[in-house]
Amino acid sequence: MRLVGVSACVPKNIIKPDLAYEKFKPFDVDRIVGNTGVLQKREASPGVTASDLCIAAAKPLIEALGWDPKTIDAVILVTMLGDHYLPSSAHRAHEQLGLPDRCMVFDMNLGCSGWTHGMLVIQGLLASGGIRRALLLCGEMVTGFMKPYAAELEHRSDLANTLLIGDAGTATALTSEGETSVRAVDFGADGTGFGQIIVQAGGSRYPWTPQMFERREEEDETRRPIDLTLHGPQILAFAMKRVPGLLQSLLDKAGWTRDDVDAYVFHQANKFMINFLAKRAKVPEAKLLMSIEEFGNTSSASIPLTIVTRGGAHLERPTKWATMGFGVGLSWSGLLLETDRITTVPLVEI
Amino acid sequence: MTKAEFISALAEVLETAPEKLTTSTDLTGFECWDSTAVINLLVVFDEHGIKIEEDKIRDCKTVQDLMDLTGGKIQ
Repeated sequence: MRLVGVSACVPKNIIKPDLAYEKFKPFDVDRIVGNTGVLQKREASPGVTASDLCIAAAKPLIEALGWDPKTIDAVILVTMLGDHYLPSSAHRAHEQLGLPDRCMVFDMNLGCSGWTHGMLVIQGLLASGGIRRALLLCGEMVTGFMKPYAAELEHRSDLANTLLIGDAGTATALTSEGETSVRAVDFGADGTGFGQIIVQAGGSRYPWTPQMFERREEEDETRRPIDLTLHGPQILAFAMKRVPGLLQSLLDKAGWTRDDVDAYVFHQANKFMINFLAKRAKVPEAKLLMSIEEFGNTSSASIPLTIVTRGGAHLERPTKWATMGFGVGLSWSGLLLETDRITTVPLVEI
Repeated sequence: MTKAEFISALAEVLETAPEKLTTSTDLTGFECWDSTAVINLLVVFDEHGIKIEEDKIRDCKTVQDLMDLTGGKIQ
């Protein structure tokens, strides 16, 4: 599998923490901003979905690559919030991008490890010989569903998620043509952490009821079953346990040292966690790419978004990348990649 | 990890002065005693090679409770 192109799209609407200071104790807002490191993020307008953002990222990339859309024989869209219960949002992308009838099209429900998991799945498809060119679309637009719009933020329990989570869509172009970019892969899952990052209600186990949407005043601090719940300390403990080992395993498989890597791209969980994991995994600080301060945590989009917006000269020249995703599931995966030149387009804003 | 090192690190987490902390100090009296403090303490323990279950940190009421969690690793 050769990585030939990456692009990203974010909504135009920039959200800064300022508005939270008007409604909440400055102590609380400072503490969240200080830890997450998110100074601004993007929020899509009502009606815009993850697939819209991904499609807007993919269109100019396909053009920049000079790919005839009819030569793309797989498109996988990674998101936790599809446009509809069915069909998969990838089918919308398939139609909008003008892809051929002979095309493998489906969604993957994953968050933070979505890009790296998606890369591994596409690697398998390409290796099967039946597929030559594939698009991996990773995007998230949960605003208005699992967390409120910043302008509608009222409850203390929604503050951290509203300041942390941003909307974005990305496209990654992969092909079986030419030399492979993949030098090492690894992955894993721990189902005992199933409830650590969760939206309880809305699926078949806990179908929505009108009561789930109500919020009683005395329960202001408690999240409802329809809200996104993140158990911070447990997630840190999980990442602490798994991520440094993931990096070591990747390096061992490739026979690389930490210094051999030119750019480290972690899932942009939050600034505190990225810095801690980087330190713990002994990642050279100067080689750590970070975009969390500008775009927030964008789930499966965060690694490709960071490559596009922080990759700089690495996109133009031979580069060794270490990419690692970890989170909801709980799940983790990583790839060491070696690229010559990655085609990209300026950040798309819609 | 020495007791002085631990108290100094804990004071930083709680955004207070080390001299304001004794073994009987009530953690729940600090505005900073929240999930962020638990995360910061996990990191402090981890950096000293001490493995603690995150749920147990939140259950601690006093400085002594925290020290007891480490099973004698704070001297």
